[in-house]
Amino acid sequence: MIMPHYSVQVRDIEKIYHSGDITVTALESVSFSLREGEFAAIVGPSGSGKSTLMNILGTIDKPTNGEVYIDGVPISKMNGNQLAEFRNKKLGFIFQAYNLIAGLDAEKNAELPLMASPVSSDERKERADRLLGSLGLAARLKLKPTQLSGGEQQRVAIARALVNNPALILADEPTGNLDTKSGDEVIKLLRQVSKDRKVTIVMVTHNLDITKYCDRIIHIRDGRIEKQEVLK
Amino acid sequence: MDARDTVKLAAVQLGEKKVRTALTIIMVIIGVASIVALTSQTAGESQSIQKSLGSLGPTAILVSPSGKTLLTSADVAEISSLPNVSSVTPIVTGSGTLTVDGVNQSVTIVGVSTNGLSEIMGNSTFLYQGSLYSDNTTPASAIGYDVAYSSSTEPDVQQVGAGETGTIQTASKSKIAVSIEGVLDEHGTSLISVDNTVFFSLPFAEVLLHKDSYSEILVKATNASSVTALTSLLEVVYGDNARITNTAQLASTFSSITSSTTTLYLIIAGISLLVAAIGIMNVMLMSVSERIHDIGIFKSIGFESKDVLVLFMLQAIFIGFIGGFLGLGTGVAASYAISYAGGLHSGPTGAVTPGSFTGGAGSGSFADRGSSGFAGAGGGGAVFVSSTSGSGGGFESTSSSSPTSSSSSSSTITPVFTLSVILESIAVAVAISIIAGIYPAWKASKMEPIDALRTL
Repeated sequence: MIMPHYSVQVRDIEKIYHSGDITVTALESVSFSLREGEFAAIVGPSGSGKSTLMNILGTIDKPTNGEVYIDGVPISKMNGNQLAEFRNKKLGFIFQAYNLIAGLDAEKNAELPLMASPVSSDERKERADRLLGSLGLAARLKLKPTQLSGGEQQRVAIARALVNNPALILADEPTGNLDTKSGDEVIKLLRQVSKDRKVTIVMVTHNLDITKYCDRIIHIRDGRIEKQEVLK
Repeated sequence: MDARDTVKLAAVQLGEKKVRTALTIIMVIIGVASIVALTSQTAGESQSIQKSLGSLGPTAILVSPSGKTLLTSADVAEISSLPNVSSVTPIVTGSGTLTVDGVNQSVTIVGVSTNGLSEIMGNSTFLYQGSLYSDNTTPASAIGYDVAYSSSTEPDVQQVGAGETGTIQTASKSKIAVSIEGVLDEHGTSLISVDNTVFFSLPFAEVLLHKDSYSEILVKATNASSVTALTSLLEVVYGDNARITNTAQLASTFSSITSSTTTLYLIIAGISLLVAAIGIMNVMLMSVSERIHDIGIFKSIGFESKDVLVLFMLQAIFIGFIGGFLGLGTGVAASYAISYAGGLHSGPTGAVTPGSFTGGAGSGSFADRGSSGFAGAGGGGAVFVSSTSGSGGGFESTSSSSPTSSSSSSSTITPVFTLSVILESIAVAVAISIIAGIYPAWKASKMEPIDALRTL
């Protein structure tokens, strides 16, 4: 029933917030599927439900109704610790504000997800170094986030998102804090990564310019999918 | 999560706020150091007191006059005739100034027979140098160890030796030339002043101090088991006319005093530890709220609640552990410093003078030790005992003795550090840090990643 080549399947999800007597429907009958290695952008105005959708895909929020399958696994039945383990094995996160740990150097930040999994420290270091190297940061391994430029910090965050070989990477406005040039570099890197590593990427953005690198654009408005464009 | 990584991450987080971490550690250091210093001092004190009481012997009983009673040779004869009595030593005591080579020092004067002196010393050989005086009216003396080594600046250089002569002046203004025949071994804190004392024969001291009665009589029972019976008998014989004290009673009085000071010290130390615990909790809560964002990151990339809990608990435990060890070191150093300065213990002399023992100079001797805020169980304890007895042989002048004294503080109270105190102080430090860290760490671990990430 679940098509195995879809790495993300969203089935009719709904998210309703109750605040006192007021009920807000943030998402309503949202359904879509993404193939392995697909690079999708979610676009829409503020308050359209993009972030809520991202949080649900990131398993840090739960839909009120409906089901999300990631890599074929339904996520609604899992408890907190199972979700933590799931995130650790299957997901990678890239945030607008990079969200690196200030006290750790680039290498350690990239290793961080592997610290929560049973990977030897030697292998961890090797994987982080290789990734950072491939992202052009070989000379910056021992620098702290504050010593890195925004573009470099975001590349460390990409390395962190990739280090556990995830099935899905969630990127929340990854270029939002970057200038055009660095932002473009970051998007091209993500494009490259999804192609080379067959990792599915879902990116939320305001910037329609950068969506030209994507395979699919999902337009959201008022909690509903307005339209989907498949490029190429 | 791997233990080594957790430790590293916790250390990194603490290291980011160095000043705050250091200040919190200092709070723990103060708490632990005060426990270590105060308990080691009281342990040393009580050990020293027990040792001194031991040197006087378990069979010693002291008879001191009470009210207008005068103790005379008739009393000596009467006590000697009682059963279970091994020896009876009459003693007269006073104070004065000894001058040798133009250097004055305030000393306690004790008149006692040479046999009696060996009863006080609790030993048959006790001469450090020279010989003893004869039991007649010759103005010859034997001096205590601190009188010989009186310089505070050069404690290892002997100032007065056997064979020298000097003068002794008492409150009655007489100034008499005396010879110094010998120097006694160092005795330490004792019920009868030894180290800061000039000993004379009984007949000479009676003349020197204008005494026609004894200040006290030291009675030794034939064996330890007959002490209680003999004490009761003496109490019956003297009633309210004398105060009868035996070593066991004193030991228990001292130990009750030291145990109550220990309790007091522990309360003080406990309060500082409580303050430290509140400090740790405050710092941890601050740390959690500052790191909500980090917690969100940790959780979103797959750290479980227990990883976050352990991460924050470890930070608290680090503070407790480092504070505990440094506090232990600080406490040991502080305790030796206190001993070296003589602060917590006796002042100029380590001995309880007979004057303070019998009560006449009780408050005076307390003032002597005024340099010590706590007055120590040695000096203070004796005052406590004597204050219940009547005025003794009139040694009021004892109070004026020390300010001019140049005698070194040779109070030999060494702080005692038991393994249990060392382990307990570190355990306590870690325990309070765990207790103080639980709530903040739990709060951090329960945070939902989405809420944590939203807090920007």
